[in-house]
Amino acid sequence: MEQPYREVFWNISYSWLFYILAAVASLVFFYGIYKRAAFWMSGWSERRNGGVDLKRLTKKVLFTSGIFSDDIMGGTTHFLIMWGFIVLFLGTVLSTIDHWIFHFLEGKVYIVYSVSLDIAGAALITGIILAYVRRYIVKRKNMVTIVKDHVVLLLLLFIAITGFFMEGLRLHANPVPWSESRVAYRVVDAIFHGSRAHLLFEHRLWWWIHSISSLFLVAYLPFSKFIHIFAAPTNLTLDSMNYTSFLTLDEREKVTTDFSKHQLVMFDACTRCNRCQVVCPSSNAREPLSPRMMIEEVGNYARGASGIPFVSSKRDADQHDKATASLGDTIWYCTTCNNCYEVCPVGINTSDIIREVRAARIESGGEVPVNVQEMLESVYKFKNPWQGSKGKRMDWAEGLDVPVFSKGADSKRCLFVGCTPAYDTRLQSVARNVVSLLEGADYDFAVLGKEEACCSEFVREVGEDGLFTELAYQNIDLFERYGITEIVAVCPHGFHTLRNEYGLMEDSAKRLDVVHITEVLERLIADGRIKPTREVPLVATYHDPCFLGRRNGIYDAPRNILRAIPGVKLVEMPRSREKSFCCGGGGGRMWVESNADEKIAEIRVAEAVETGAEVVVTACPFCFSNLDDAVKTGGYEDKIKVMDVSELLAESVLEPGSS
Amino acid sequence: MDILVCIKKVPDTADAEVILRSDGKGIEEEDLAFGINEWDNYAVEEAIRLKEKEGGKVAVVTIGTGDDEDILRRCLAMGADDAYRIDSSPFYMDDPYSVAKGLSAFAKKHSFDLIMTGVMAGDMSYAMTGPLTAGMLGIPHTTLVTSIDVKDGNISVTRELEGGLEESVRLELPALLTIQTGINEPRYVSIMGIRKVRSKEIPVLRAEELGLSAEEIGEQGAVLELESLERPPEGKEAEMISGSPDEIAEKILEIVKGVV
Repeated sequence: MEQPYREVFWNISYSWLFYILAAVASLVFFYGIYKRAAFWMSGWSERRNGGVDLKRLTKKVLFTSGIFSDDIMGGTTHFLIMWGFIVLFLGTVLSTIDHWIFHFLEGKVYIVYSVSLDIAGAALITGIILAYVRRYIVKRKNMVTIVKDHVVLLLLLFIAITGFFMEGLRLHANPVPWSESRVAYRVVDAIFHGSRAHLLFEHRLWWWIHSISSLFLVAYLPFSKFIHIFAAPTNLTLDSMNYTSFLTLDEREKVTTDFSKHQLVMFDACTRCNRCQVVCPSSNAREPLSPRMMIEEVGNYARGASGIPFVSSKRDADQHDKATASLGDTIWYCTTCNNCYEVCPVGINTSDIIREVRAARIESGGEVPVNVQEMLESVYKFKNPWQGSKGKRMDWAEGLDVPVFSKGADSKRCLFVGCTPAYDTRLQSVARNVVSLLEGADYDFAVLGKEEACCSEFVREVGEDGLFTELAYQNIDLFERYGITEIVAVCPHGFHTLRNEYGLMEDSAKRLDVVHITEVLERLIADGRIKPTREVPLVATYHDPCFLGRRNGIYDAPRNILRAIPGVKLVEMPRSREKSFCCGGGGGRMWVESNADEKIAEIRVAEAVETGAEVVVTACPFCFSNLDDAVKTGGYEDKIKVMDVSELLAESVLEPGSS
Repeated sequence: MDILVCIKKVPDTADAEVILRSDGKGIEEEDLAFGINEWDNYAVEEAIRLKEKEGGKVAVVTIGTGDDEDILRRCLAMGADDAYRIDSSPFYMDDPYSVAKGLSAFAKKHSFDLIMTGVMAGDMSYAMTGPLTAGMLGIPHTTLVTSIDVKDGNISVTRELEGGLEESVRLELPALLTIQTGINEPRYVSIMGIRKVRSKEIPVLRAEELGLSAEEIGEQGAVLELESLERPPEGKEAEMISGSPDEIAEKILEIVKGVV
């Protein structure tokens, strides 16, 4: 019996024409890819903080875990299309090798090959059908579909269907003794009729239609949404290597381009899936910010001068500059909570892009919200955002015996109090409780006292890199002067920037061991040095501060503290841990007013009230202020109150009135 | 139009606890934050806006020490073209006359179409330096300016009066204006912006170079001498009314009845 195989170019004349068309399509493809790569490479180079995380990359790229997350149907849809596409593409490659280099597609190998391609084709078609079911039958909320999306989906569908036509027609016109492509055979049976000569004609016709549309796809790819096939894995790779767009002032003065390489790849990786907008606290509060639109808008500006045909418009580059890449005041609404980044299947860090535009806005002297300006001027003048005078920085410690470095305290460990616990009269008790708890546990530490400067985390987030650097160096100099090697930060914002950002500009800060106070308290409880003995009968829910949770992965320490307090019953909100919904206070939002009817924090408090908790506990001064205000403005005062973790722990440990 | 803005560095005492020095002639400065006088900042912004509209140059000047150069540099970052420092060591700085002598001597050496100062300085609140400087230069001046309009070599300005009244005044140039806060929204000056002008030279002028002798501007030549600073007597403490809203309302009513 004849070995199963398929003759390439069977029934096809003018095969040279195919090669000419293929050559043209490839040229267009490579030109497009070249333009895209040149665009990405035009950015400034960022520093890399690690090697490729292969495990994470495999999960995110090959298994597209980000798309499956919270959306099984969307994940399945994309998975079928993606792997259908990849297998079919590999099939074509193998066929080319078989035809030109060495012949191996015969016998059992050919059958496996043929069946695989049939399955891939079926997967692709199923995926596309699912994509339409999602859009028009299930009507998944918040999906945004534009004409270009239809072009992409229908082109794939057309290629897959004509592929089956072609195969079925071949088998009809030229029956083979082995079992092959039953489905295609039947489908063709139902559609095409006539003499063998007619079927041969139909086969030729559909072969050319299939080939030309496939080649069109190849040529079209770099100029369409399909570019994400390259941009998304590239972006996820850079992301897994922990690239940072951080520039020192000297570097920033030298860069001549607007964005970093990684940032430029981000713009091209976006497929407008809208997951960012669904989770965005600002979008949820119906403020004018949409992270998806932001990436599109700023991306259009960035691509403006790149000269990628059909993709960039020179007008975008000419009419705007980096400061106006996003028009109006939308950039100021971002809380930099990074929830959008958390859910982005392709690893786009929108807040990083927004920070860049904010920085340009500040440097260009453009519109900066008055309150933000005042905050910056306060940090410049008073070294804190609250216009508090230097003389009052230690007011919180009145009556307590707190060791201060400048007064000769002998310690290597600095309790970095932070401006808000130091100056905000409602939050000074947090600093007092923390000190009392640590002293009660014989934990060695000292504070910088009046010398402490604002950590300036939010100064950096609003884009004032110069001021951030200046204040950071004031603190770094203090750490060096007093031989400080370990920092315990009370506020997650200081914790984040001291831990992750100070080291980017100064080597000595890289060696600092920075922990958050909840980590210390958790450890002291575990070691039996802090003993929560008094019963505190409360149903509590824990609100994850973005800068402690998502930004630094600390979810369990505060929860373990709460679990250690007798009487406390911990309940979780639907959005917790990685999915935590921001209080609306990050990224300088403490100083940006919105006209929205409902405040971000009110949405969060309503969620906390839903759980039946009597108290919403947090571990961040900004979260505390925002939630506490929302409890009042939202009318929840008789339902819930806000507490800091340390406050609740102090109730269980300290004698009443001791701090 | 060439504009000169006279500025000063002052302590911010809005929220700070002000401690009098033991000699009673000054305040403890250690815990205080210093910066450009708020009124002067508006004046600089207004001058730069006028320059952006009408052309010309903006110069800023202060009588101060090397420590005061940061506010000059800040003005350069805002958009001023030149900055000068007159060395303050021979000056008796508590006397606005001494200061005005220095400023007017400086202004005479250049030719400015318009001179601006803040209405007053946040430290001593004399509100005299501007008018005195104008007097010494023999040019017209007006105070408390809230808007400026330039027309064919003249300027029309609005002045803020008591009770929400405004006055329109026309002056011939050259003239001196003292600028009221709120005339504009001063732009934010970033540290990067200040870095960009870090290498720009700030000429330092000595009193002799301006033709001023130490006797004229020093303590012995002072017209106005600071005797001592004192705290105002403490007023009666506010009474906090406690109780339920109804009780509080009741008590307030009683108090109001007592007054009426």
